[in-house]
Amino acid sequence: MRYDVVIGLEIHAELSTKTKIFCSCEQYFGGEQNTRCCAGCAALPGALPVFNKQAITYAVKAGLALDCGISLESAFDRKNYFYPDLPKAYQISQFYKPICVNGKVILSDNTTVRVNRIHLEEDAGKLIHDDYHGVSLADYNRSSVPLIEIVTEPDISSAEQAREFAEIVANRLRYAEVCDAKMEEGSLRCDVNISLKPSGSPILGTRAEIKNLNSFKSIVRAIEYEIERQSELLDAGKKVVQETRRFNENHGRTIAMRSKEEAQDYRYFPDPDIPTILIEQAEVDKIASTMPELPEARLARYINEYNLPEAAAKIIITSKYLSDFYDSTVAIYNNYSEIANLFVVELFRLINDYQIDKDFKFTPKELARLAEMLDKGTLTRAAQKTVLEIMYTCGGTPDNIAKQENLILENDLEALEQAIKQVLSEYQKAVQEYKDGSLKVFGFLMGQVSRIVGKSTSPAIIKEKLTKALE
Amino acid sequence: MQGYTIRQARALLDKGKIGAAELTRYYLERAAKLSPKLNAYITIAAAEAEKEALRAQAMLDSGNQKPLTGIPIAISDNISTKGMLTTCGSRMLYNYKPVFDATVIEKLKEQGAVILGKTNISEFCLGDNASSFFGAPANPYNVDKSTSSGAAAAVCADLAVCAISADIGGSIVQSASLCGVVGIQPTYGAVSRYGMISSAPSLSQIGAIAKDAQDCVALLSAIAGKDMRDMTSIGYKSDFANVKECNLQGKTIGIITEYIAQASAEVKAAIENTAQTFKELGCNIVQVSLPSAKYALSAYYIISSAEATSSFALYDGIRFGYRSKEGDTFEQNLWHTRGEGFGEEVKRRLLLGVFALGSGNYEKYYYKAKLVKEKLKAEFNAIFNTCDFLLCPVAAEQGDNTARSATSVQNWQASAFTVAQNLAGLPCASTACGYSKEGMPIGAQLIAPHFADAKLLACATAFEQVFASKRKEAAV
Repeated sequence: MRYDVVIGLEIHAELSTKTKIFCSCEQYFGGEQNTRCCAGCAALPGALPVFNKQAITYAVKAGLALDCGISLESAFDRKNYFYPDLPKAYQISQFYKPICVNGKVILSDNTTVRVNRIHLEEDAGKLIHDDYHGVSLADYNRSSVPLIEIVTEPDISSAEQAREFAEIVANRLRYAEVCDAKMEEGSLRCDVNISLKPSGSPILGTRAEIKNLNSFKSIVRAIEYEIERQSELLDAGKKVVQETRRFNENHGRTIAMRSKEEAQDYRYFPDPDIPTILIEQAEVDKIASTMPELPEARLARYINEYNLPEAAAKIIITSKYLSDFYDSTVAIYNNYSEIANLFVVELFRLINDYQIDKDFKFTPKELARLAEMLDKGTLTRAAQKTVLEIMYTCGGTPDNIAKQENLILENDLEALEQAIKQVLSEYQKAVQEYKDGSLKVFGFLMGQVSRIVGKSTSPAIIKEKLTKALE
Repeated sequence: MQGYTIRQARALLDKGKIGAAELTRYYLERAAKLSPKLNAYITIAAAEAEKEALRAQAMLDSGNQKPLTGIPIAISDNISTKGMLTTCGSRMLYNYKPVFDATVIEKLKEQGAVILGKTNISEFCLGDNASSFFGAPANPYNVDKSTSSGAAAAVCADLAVCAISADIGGSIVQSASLCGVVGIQPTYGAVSRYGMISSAPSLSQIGAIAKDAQDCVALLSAIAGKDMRDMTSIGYKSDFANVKECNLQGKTIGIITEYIAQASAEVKAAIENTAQTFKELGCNIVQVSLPSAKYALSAYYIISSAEATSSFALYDGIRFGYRSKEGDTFEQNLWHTRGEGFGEEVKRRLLLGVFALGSGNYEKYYYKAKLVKEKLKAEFNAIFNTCDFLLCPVAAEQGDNTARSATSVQNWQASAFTVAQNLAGLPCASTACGYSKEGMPIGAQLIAPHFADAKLLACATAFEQVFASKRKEAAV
């Protein structure tokens, strides 16, 4: 039978605030265990939560980035369950009054994915299982790190759409500068709710929830596996059980964790320790005014106004830092395509080799100058590549580096004119062939001129002067 | 009243007639001698207290004393004291020493107050007198009878000059009434809850127990104020400085008819006498009605139990406190730890709370209880449009809080006259207004609008001055 696939996503994103959501402990990835852990993080009796205003602002930014309405009144609730990584045995979350509601994202195939809500909550600690000693140890550094949970409506119908949605969300959160969205570090995690129904049927099937997918690739693989698993069950006349599953990356399969009957009753109720969060519309407007141009708008600008190839434009917008850098560079020197080329070919190669993708040692102004030097014939393309690598690894202005490395072309025009004259008189037959329409011989003539003037003259200038002389 | 008030001790210390160390030693000796009989203290912190007394003396010697410098104070055992045992009257925390001070403790230490030790409470401030893991504190008026707080017993028997206590459901007012001392539960939010180990954050408060209302003023002015660590705390300026005036001429006092109607003849008579005294002080006495009072008890038990289920969920035996030796897995060990660590009444409340919040029950119980809370606030506000203060009994029956009733619901009735104010977050105080045939104190409960804590204590002071000649001291 043919089935329609119905998918909803829940994306957890760690907010990159300086401190945690309910205390003043610092928060960042890594570091020694339990060093960023106060009475609140460890849930000692009598400690109280005090919410971090920056987390509220970041959640509002995330909401604006995903086209949500912002609730001027929202509140925190307690979600109760026992687990050793959750020291209070309740998670402070937003259940009844989330901070952002009714957003949407439009995919490249024009599918609208509605965002039901974005709510703020705190992360749990982490358990480290020591099989050698047969113990589990708790690390509360992550305890109370601010998270947002983005919950979609079931508007997604394929693994590919799910991946695109997640990528768009990740990128927009990075642009809004509220989350670094690194799935490999766990700052972005995705749960997938998926069900199948007979093609065209209005009745939804029973869904399974796949928890904690931590790469875009896993999202696709888990969904593909689940579609296969559920359709096989349905084809065989069996029922899909409502349950929570996890994805095993090694085997590429989803595995049942707990069924609906075992599901927890979280007993949500308003957290009496935290007053209602009130935000003024003026505050929301102020936050909105600080929002950057989002990646999709930039993509359109690069393609339509700068005439960049779509592939190049898409690469540049993957990072806000790089896209901002590109914008600043072309604002100084507007050879859009040449600078895009520098980014896509040279800079990304360097990023790949050296893994530094922000806080560059050079400025947009210096990069603009580097592009200009090529255009003016001061550098060859090969030399430009060398200079960029030094700028990237050590810093320095392109002029100084090129000088130090002896890469500046002397471009002695008098000598060039002389050489051209000499070649044209020496190879009159070839000149005649060119005039008769054989463009092939141009390369031969160019080679002869270059041989005389040597490497210190820009090929671009040789080409320009030779063409002129031939006409 | 036995022993010293804060003002008396202050005068002796300031004039150098007694040293801080000497005063502290006097109280430590009394506590060591009498506490075993009264079971008032769980911990007597003699060594720490003597050190604090030396520090207080240094403040006195340099002329830098503050209102509570050198004053020996008892602290209820559910308020966190750094490095000092804080058990909440529970086996669950029998060995728990906090790593930080509650905000109120910080403030007391800043003033140079001397903390004598930690007083007994019913387990986590829930349930009847017998629920403390350390046994019930006895009433100094009759040691065969119990009271719900060691703090009230300690102040009454002069095992401390005064005490800071933590309240839920009216326990400060109730225990003060039983022991014939003055207790105040301030406006919700007036005092920081940071470091108070509470069961129900929306109802728990820190208040004061002292020998008279003036001393409560000194204590509240020391501990009240906005705290950045407690988002529910509210900064307000209660006019504590002007309490001494206590001119009640032309004030209107409302008698809550619903409570009077349920009171025993003895209690009713004592409250009527109190009303008469206020009348003689120039007040108008009017009858007022609190129609939703009849729902208050149910709402209180639902909200407090529901909040307790999650507030007590952190007691898992992993990081501190009692841990059972039974159970091979996290879950099994959790079962045993909580099963053995909590007493009967706490477990009863937890089950009630889980039920009230359970899937499908939230709207039926918890949500409705919150509506009752709002309704009560509105009814009180309406009454305070015409009244300055309210007067009512603390409990229907006087004195005998020992007789454990057949069912816990009957036990819970003991709080029937205090929970409505607690739900509404209003300041209320109890002061002795008479004695039963057996000589046990009867308390008059005074209630004021939000943030009128100082006026409330002024009102109590005016009454105390008239009642002083009729006071009877405790047997211990």
